[in-house]
Amino acid sequence: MTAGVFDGVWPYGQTLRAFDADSVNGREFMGFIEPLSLADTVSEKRDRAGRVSEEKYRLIAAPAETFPYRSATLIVCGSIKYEILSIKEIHNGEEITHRECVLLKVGEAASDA
Amino acid sequence: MLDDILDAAVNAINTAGISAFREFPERRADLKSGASVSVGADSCKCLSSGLGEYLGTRVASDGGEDVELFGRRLELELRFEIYSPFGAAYGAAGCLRCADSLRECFGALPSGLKALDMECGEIKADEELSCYRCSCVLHTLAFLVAESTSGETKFLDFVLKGTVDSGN
Repeated sequence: MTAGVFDGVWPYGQTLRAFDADSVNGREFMGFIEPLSLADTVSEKRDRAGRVSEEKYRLIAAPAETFPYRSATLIVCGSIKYEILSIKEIHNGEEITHRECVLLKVGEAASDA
Repeated sequence: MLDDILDAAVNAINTAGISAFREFPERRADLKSGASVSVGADSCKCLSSGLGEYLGTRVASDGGEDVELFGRRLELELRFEIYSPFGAAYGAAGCLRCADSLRECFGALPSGLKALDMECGEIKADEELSCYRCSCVLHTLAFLVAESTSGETKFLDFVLKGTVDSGN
Protein backbone atom coordinates (compact mmCIF):
# COMPACT_ATOMS: atom_id res chain seq x y z
CA MET A 1 0.00 0.00 0.00
CA THR A 2 1.39 3.42 -0.91
CA ALA A 3 0.91 6.01 1.75
CA GLY A 4 2.13 9.31 3.05
CA VAL A 5 3.59 12.41 1.46
CA PHE A 6 4.45 10.70 -1.84
CA ASP A 7 0.93 9.39 -2.48
CA GLY A 8 0.29 11.71 -5.38
CA VAL A 9 3.63 11.59 -7.15
CA TRP A 10 4.09 7.95 -8.13
CA PRO A 11 2.14 8.27 -11.42
CA TYR A 12 4.72 10.87 -12.50
CA GLY A 13 7.69 8.60 -11.97
CA GLN A 14 9.68 6.63 -14.51
CA THR A 15 8.61 3.17 -15.52
CA LEU A 16 11.27 0.81 -14.23
CA ARG A 17 11.64 -2.94 -14.40
CA ALA A 18 12.98 -5.16 -11.64
CA PHE A 19 14.44 -8.59 -12.40
CA ASP A 20 14.97 -11.17 -9.69
CA ALA A 21 14.29 -14.84 -9.01
CA ASP A 22 10.54 -14.20 -8.58
CA SER A 23 10.20 -12.17 -11.75
CA VAL A 24 12.61 -13.53 -14.31
CA ASN A 25 10.86 -11.59 -17.07
CA GLY A 26 10.79 -8.47 -14.96
CA ARG A 27 8.01 -6.60 -13.22
CA GLU A 28 7.19 -2.97 -13.80
CA PHE A 29 7.01 -0.38 -11.09
CA MET A 30 7.13 3.39 -10.86
CA GLY A 31 10.00 5.25 -9.27
CA PHE A 32 12.46 8.11 -9.55
CA ILE A 33 16.17 7.79 -10.26
CA GLU A 34 18.60 10.63 -9.59
CA PRO A 35 22.41 10.65 -9.87
CA LEU A 36 24.59 10.68 -6.74
CA SER A 37 28.12 12.08 -6.37
CA LEU A 38 27.83 14.50 -9.28
CA ALA A 39 31.24 16.04 -8.46
CA ASP A 40 32.95 12.73 -9.05
CA THR A 41 34.20 12.61 -12.62
CA VAL A 42 35.58 9.08 -12.41
CA SER A 43 32.88 6.73 -13.61
CA GLU A 44 34.81 3.49 -13.29
CA LYS A 45 37.91 2.11 -11.66
CA ARG A 46 40.29 -0.68 -12.47
CA ASP A 47 39.76 -3.47 -9.99
CA ARG A 48 41.14 -6.99 -9.79
CA ALA A 49 37.65 -8.11 -10.78
CA GLY A 50 37.72 -5.93 -13.90
CA ARG A 51 36.56 -2.44 -14.75
CA VAL A 52 34.08 -1.60 -12.06
CA SER A 53 31.55 1.18 -12.47
CA GLU A 54 31.47 3.86 -9.79
CA GLU A 55 28.38 5.64 -11.07
CA LYS A 56 25.85 5.63 -8.28
CA TYR A 57 22.22 6.67 -8.36
CA ARG A 58 19.44 7.05 -5.83
CA LEU A 59 16.16 5.30 -6.49
CA ILE A 60 13.02 6.51 -4.77
CA ALA A 61 10.45 3.75 -4.92
CA ALA A 62 6.99 3.17 -3.53
CA PRO A 63 6.86 1.53 -0.08
CA ALA A 64 5.19 -1.53 -1.60
CA GLU A 65 8.42 -2.27 -3.51
CA THR A 66 10.27 -4.38 -0.96
CA PHE A 67 12.97 -5.81 -3.27
CA PRO A 68 13.08 -9.12 -1.39
CA TYR A 69 16.14 -10.29 -3.32
CA ARG A 70 18.07 -7.11 -2.49
CA SER A 71 21.44 -7.17 -4.26
CA ALA A 72 20.31 -10.05 -6.47
CA THR A 73 17.72 -7.70 -7.99
CA LEU A 74 18.53 -5.89 -11.22
CA ILE A 75 16.79 -2.62 -12.00
CA VAL A 76 16.48 -1.63 -15.63
CA CYS A 77 15.54 1.87 -16.76
CA GLY A 78 15.35 2.17 -20.52
CA SER A 79 18.57 0.57 -21.66
CA ILE A 80 20.55 1.12 -18.45
CA LYS A 81 21.06 -1.65 -15.95
CA TYR A 82 21.61 -1.06 -12.21
CA GLU A 83 22.44 -3.21 -9.22
CA ILE A 84 21.01 -2.46 -5.79
CA LEU A 85 23.67 -1.64 -3.21
CA SER A 86 21.47 -0.72 -0.28
CA ILE A 87 17.81 -0.25 0.58
CA LYS A 88 16.51 2.10 3.26
CA GLU A 89 12.96 2.49 4.51
CA ILE A 90 11.97 6.10 5.03
CA HIS A 91 9.42 6.65 7.75
CA ASN A 92 7.00 9.46 8.45
CA GLY A 93 6.10 8.70 12.01
CA GLU A 94 5.31 5.00 12.00
CA GLU A 95 4.30 5.00 8.36
CA ILE A 96 6.72 4.01 5.59
CA THR A 97 6.47 6.79 3.00
CA HIS A 98 8.90 5.35 0.42
CA ARG A 99 12.08 3.34 -0.01
CA GLU A 100 15.42 4.80 -0.98
CA CYS A 101 17.91 2.57 -2.73
CA VAL A 102 21.47 3.28 -3.77
CA LEU A 103 22.01 1.88 -7.26
CA LEU A 104 25.22 1.11 -9.09
CA LYS A 105 25.18 1.41 -12.85
CA VAL A 106 26.49 -1.86 -14.22
CA GLY A 107 26.04 -1.32 -17.93
CA GLU A 108 23.64 -1.60 -20.79
CA ALA A 109 20.75 -4.01 -20.55
CA ALA A 110 20.94 -7.04 -22.83
CA SER A 111 17.86 -7.83 -24.88
CA ASP A 112 16.84 -10.56 -22.42
CA ALA A 113 17.98 -8.41 -19.43
CA MET B 1 57.30 -16.24 -18.32
CA LEU B 2 54.95 -15.24 -15.48
CA ASP B 3 52.05 -15.25 -17.90
CA ASP B 4 52.48 -18.98 -18.43
CA ILE B 5 52.58 -19.63 -14.70
CA LEU B 6 49.43 -17.59 -14.05
CA ASP B 7 47.65 -19.25 -16.98
CA ALA B 8 48.64 -22.67 -15.63
CA ALA B 9 47.21 -21.75 -12.22
CA VAL B 10 43.97 -20.46 -13.77
CA ASN B 11 43.60 -23.64 -15.82
CA ALA B 12 44.19 -25.89 -12.81
CA ILE B 13 41.58 -24.01 -10.77
CA ASN B 14 39.04 -24.00 -13.59
CA THR B 15 39.58 -27.74 -14.07
CA ALA B 16 38.74 -28.23 -10.39
CA GLY B 17 35.34 -26.63 -11.04
CA ILE B 18 36.06 -23.19 -9.56
CA SER B 19 35.50 -20.18 -11.80
CA ALA B 20 38.90 -18.48 -12.12
CA PHE B 21 40.18 -15.62 -14.23
CA ARG B 22 43.34 -13.51 -14.54
CA GLU B 23 43.13 -10.34 -12.45
CA PHE B 24 42.31 -6.96 -14.02
CA PRO B 25 40.29 -8.25 -16.99
CA GLU B 26 39.11 -5.72 -19.55
CA ARG B 27 35.49 -6.34 -18.67
CA ARG B 28 34.01 -6.88 -15.27
CA ALA B 29 34.10 -10.58 -14.44
CA ASP B 30 30.80 -12.35 -13.83
CA LEU B 31 30.60 -12.52 -10.05
CA LYS B 32 26.88 -13.24 -9.73
CA SER B 33 26.77 -16.91 -10.55
CA GLY B 34 28.78 -18.22 -7.59
CA ALA B 35 32.21 -17.91 -6.06
CA SER B 36 34.97 -16.75 -8.43
CA VAL B 37 38.70 -16.32 -8.03
CA SER B 38 41.04 -13.80 -9.61
CA VAL B 39 44.63 -14.93 -10.02
CA GLY B 40 47.62 -12.60 -10.03
CA ALA B 41 51.26 -12.43 -8.98
CA ASP B 42 52.27 -10.48 -5.89
CA SER B 43 56.02 -10.86 -5.69
CA CYS B 44 58.60 -12.81 -7.58
CA LYS B 45 62.17 -13.62 -6.64
CA CYS B 46 64.44 -15.26 -9.18
CA LEU B 47 66.90 -17.68 -7.60
CA SER B 48 69.95 -18.94 -9.41
CA SER B 49 70.39 -22.65 -9.63
CA GLY B 50 74.18 -22.18 -9.76
CA LEU B 51 76.70 -23.10 -12.45
CA GLY B 52 75.27 -20.56 -14.85
CA GLU B 53 71.85 -22.17 -14.47
CA TYR B 54 73.21 -25.22 -16.26
CA LEU B 55 71.43 -28.46 -15.43
CA GLY B 56 73.12 -30.88 -17.80
CA THR B 57 72.83 -32.43 -21.22
CA ARG B 58 70.12 -34.66 -22.52
CA VAL B 59 71.74 -37.11 -24.88
CA ALA B 60 69.73 -37.73 -28.00
CA SER B 61 68.91 -41.40 -28.35
CA ASP B 62 67.96 -41.32 -32.02
CA GLY B 63 71.20 -39.89 -33.38
CA GLY B 64 70.01 -36.30 -33.20
CA GLU B 65 71.78 -33.41 -31.53
CA ASP B 66 72.32 -33.41 -27.77
CA VAL B 67 70.30 -30.83 -25.92
CA GLU B 68 71.62 -28.71 -23.07
CA LEU B 69 69.22 -27.97 -20.26
CA PHE B 70 69.15 -24.84 -18.14
CA GLY B 71 67.01 -24.25 -15.10
CA ARG B 72 65.73 -21.41 -13.00
CA ARG B 73 63.89 -21.33 -9.73
CA LEU B 74 61.39 -18.64 -8.79
CA GLU B 75 59.97 -17.86 -5.40
CA LEU B 76 56.56 -16.66 -6.39
CA GLU B 77 53.64 -15.35 -4.39
CA LEU B 78 50.33 -15.85 -6.14
CA ARG B 79 47.42 -13.72 -5.00
CA PHE B 80 43.94 -15.18 -5.17
CA GLU B 81 41.01 -12.87 -4.56
CA ILE B 82 37.90 -14.84 -3.84
CA TYR B 83 34.53 -13.25 -4.64
CA SER B 84 31.32 -14.67 -3.24
CA PRO B 85 27.99 -12.97 -4.02
CA PHE B 86 25.78 -11.59 -1.27
CA GLY B 87 22.93 -13.87 -0.30
CA ALA B 88 22.26 -16.97 1.72
CA ALA B 89 23.36 -19.36 -1.02
CA TYR B 90 26.92 -18.01 -1.05
CA GLY B 91 27.74 -15.13 1.29
CA ALA B 92 30.81 -14.87 3.50
CA ALA B 93 30.78 -18.63 4.09
CA GLY B 94 31.12 -19.07 0.33
CA CYS B 95 34.54 -17.41 0.53
CA LEU B 96 35.68 -19.97 3.12
CA ARG B 97 34.30 -22.87 1.11
CA CYS B 98 36.05 -21.59 -1.99
CA ALA B 99 39.35 -21.18 -0.09
CA ASP B 100 39.07 -24.82 1.03
CA SER B 101 38.41 -25.92 -2.53
CA LEU B 102 41.43 -23.90 -3.67
CA ARG B 103 43.68 -25.71 -1.21
CA GLU B 104 42.44 -29.04 -2.51
CA CYS B 105 43.15 -28.23 -6.15
CA PHE B 106 46.76 -27.14 -5.66
CA GLY B 107 47.80 -30.77 -6.17
CA ALA B 108 46.61 -30.44 -9.76
CA LEU B 109 49.08 -27.66 -10.58
CA PRO B 110 51.79 -28.46 -13.16
CA SER B 111 54.76 -30.34 -11.72
CA GLY B 112 56.93 -27.25 -12.08
CA LEU B 113 54.77 -25.23 -9.70
CA LYS B 114 54.95 -26.38 -6.09
CA ALA B 115 52.44 -24.91 -3.65
CA LEU B 116 54.04 -24.42 -0.23
CA ASP B 117 51.49 -22.66 1.97
CA MET B 118 48.52 -20.37 1.66
CA GLU B 119 47.54 -17.45 3.88
CA CYS B 120 43.95 -16.27 3.92
CA GLY B 121 43.09 -12.67 4.73
CA GLU B 122 39.90 -11.48 6.35
CA ILE B 123 36.60 -11.50 4.52
CA LYS B 124 35.23 -8.07 3.64
CA ALA B 125 32.00 -6.93 2.07
CA ASP B 126 32.35 -5.03 -1.20
CA GLU B 127 29.19 -3.10 -1.98
CA GLU B 128 30.27 -2.01 -5.45
CA LEU B 129 30.69 -5.60 -6.52
CA SER B 130 27.75 -6.82 -4.39
CA CYS B 131 29.86 -9.60 -2.95
CA TYR B 132 32.19 -10.65 -0.17
CA ARG B 133 35.85 -10.81 -1.02
CA CYS B 134 38.77 -12.53 0.62
CA SER B 135 42.39 -12.18 -0.40
CA CYS B 136 44.65 -15.25 -0.18
CA VAL B 137 48.37 -15.47 -0.84
CA LEU B 138 49.91 -18.73 -2.00
CA HIS B 139 53.67 -19.13 -1.62
CA THR B 140 55.03 -21.27 -4.41
CA LEU B 141 58.26 -22.44 -5.96
CA ALA B 142 58.28 -22.42 -9.74
CA PHE B 143 60.80 -24.46 -11.67
CA LEU B 144 61.57 -23.31 -15.18
CA VAL B 145 63.59 -25.09 -17.83
CA ALA B 146 65.11 -24.03 -21.13
CA GLU B 147 66.82 -26.03 -23.83
CA SER B 148 69.52 -25.21 -26.33
CA THR B 149 71.27 -27.31 -28.87
CA SER B 150 74.97 -27.94 -28.33
CA GLY B 151 75.78 -25.57 -31.16
CA GLU B 152 73.76 -22.80 -29.47
CA THR B 153 71.94 -22.22 -32.71
CA LYS B 154 68.63 -22.38 -30.97
CA PHE B 155 67.70 -21.27 -27.48
CA LEU B 156 64.17 -21.48 -26.25
CA ASP B 157 62.55 -19.35 -23.55
CA PHE B 158 62.32 -20.65 -20.06
CA VAL B 159 59.04 -22.50 -19.65
CA LEU B 160 57.33 -23.87 -16.61
CA LYS B 161 58.44 -27.43 -15.99
CA GLY B 162 55.59 -29.83 -16.58
CA THR B 163 53.73 -27.69 -19.10
CA VAL B 164 55.69 -29.03 -22.07
CA ASP B 165 57.47 -32.29 -22.66
CA SER B 166 60.97 -31.17 -21.75
CA GLY B 167 62.19 -34.65 -21.03
CA ASN B 168 62.64 -33.94 -17.32
